[in-house]
Amino acid sequence: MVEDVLRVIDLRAEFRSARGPVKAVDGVSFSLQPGRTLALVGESGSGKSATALAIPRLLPDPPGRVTGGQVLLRGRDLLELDPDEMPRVRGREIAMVFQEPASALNPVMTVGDQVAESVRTHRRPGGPVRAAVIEALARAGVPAPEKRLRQYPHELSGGLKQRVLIAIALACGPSVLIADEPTTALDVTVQARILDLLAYLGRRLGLALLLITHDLGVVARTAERVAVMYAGRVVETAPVGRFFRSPLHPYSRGLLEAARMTRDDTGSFRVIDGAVPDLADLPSGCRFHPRCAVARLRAACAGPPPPAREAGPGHTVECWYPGEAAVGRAWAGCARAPAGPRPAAAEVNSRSAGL
Amino acid sequence: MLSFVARRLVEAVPVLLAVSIVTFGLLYLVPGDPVKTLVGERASPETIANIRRELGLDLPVHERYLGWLGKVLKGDLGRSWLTGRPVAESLAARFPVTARLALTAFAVSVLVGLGLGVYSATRQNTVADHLVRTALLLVGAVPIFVMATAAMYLFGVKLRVLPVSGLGDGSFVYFVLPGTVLGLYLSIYQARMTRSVMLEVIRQDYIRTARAKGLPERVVTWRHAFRNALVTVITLLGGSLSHLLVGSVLTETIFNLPGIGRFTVDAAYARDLPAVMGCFLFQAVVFVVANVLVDIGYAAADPRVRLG
Repeated sequence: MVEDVLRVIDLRAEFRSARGPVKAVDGVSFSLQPGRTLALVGESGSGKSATALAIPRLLPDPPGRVTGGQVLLRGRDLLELDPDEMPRVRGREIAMVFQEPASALNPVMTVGDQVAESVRTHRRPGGPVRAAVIEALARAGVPAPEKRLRQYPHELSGGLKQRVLIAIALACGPSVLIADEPTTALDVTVQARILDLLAYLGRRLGLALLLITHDLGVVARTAERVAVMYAGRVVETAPVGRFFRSPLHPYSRGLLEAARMTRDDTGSFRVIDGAVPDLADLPSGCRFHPRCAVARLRAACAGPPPPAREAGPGHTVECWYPGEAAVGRAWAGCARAPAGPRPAAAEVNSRSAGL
Repeated sequence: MLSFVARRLVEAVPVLLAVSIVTFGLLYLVPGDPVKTLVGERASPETIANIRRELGLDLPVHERYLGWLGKVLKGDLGRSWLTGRPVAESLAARFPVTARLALTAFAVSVLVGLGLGVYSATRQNTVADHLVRTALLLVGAVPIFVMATAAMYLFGVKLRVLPVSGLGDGSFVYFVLPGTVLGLYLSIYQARMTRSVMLEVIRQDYIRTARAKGLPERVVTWRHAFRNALVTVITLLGGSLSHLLVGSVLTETIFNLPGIGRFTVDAAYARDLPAVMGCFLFQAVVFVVANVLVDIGYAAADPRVRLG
């Protein structure tokens, strides 16, 4: 068994709001191994990005705040560190790539300077910075890196900007890379290339990669393991193969059906009825039960929240009735239900229909 | 970058030409007869007609304008009707005073205003932030002449560390007090604007990228956030500087400094036409040049501007 580089244990984070604390991350646990990719999947508002930002302690405070849990980087709890010590962890040990390459680069600094900053901050002085910068850009697949040094972000395409951000992230040889929807803002053709690059670099550099996405196509393409997040909790964790073959949580199954664009017997696309619950006012019991077809006629789902169960090797699920079929015709019914002006479909990219 | 500067300079020419026409035209429309002001109400019509001819006031408008413009371009702004001295000479004597006052005040305002703005923004909604903002509001509520008098009394009379007023030998110490008082008032707006722009910039994705790189907070604030905020703040700075260079009447008057501001006001009261026109034109040129400099500053601060 490969050793864990990063273990997140029972992480909790909330945002203060006028309506009380919004529990964006509510007891999330997972671990990352070198050279492996874990995909964190979920709808908008499920707490994926808050989890990603809480790990290197980049959650904007206020209004955000980590309220509990541990983030163990090689056994050392980052949440216990002095805030002044975090800059030495960020970039050097945990690097990040964000969703919007267009706004993630400083518009008034040259590409070269921005990569060099990363190199300089974490290196012993005296080394040839320029060479390291060019090497970092080349490794991230930036064509003609020497020419890019003096260019500004507005002179680059979206895909190229994301490559520059990857170069910045990897310039100092981190052991963990957190990529928060790194391809969402890019063209489809560019998406695939960036993902392949991340997967390739992850394997070659032995990176532990946390890939946050709402796109199951991305998961299938890049990850070894998948964790499904719903309303601040990880409801199912499984190896990718098992997950696509036999998802156990009704929410995971709903996501997959929506992604496959399955039609029900009336010809409508199957979607998950309803919307992500208000994180300041969560339903009792299992958070998914008000939207769940399986839970329709089962009182247990509204009772105490389901504990995590082992469902196979590396496969855990938080559900009272994992893998069970919907009661009666509930599935079909829920897809047809005219809830609101437009059924709030699980935000699953329809491009990933080829699963 | 060089072609950008050249283009801005060329673009300034028609602006200046328009300014010269407006200056000339405005004064043509001003009520009251300057000749009568000059010679007094009781002068005979012949005297008035003679003086009119002497001053060239009997010629048609366009001839007067072109004649005036031709001289202006040669640096001749005419002679003051009041003192008979060349206006250009008077301006040249007074501009260094105004310039020194302006630069001192500007330096003070930038240091205090931008410094406090950044300080306040990085500590948003803390006690320090509220204290800074309240203090600035209080200073702004006190009229400048009250503040100036208090400062003169404290530093000039009580502590005797700075000259109270006047130009003295023109050395820097005579500008410390007026420059600081004037700069303090300007800094209020600069601090407010810097704070709000910084707050906006700090929320940008690239600031998160900078933090994710592992840069210390100090570097994130100054190298990343402040440089981007500067792009916006430069507009205000340019405006401040050009206003200062045009002369600060109140400050010049309170501290008894013979600068451009007082000269303009005195000339206007005396209906000293050539002096007023000279002042206006000079101030317009200063304004336009300052704006060109701001544009160049923009381009230096923000690479995206250089394209436009």
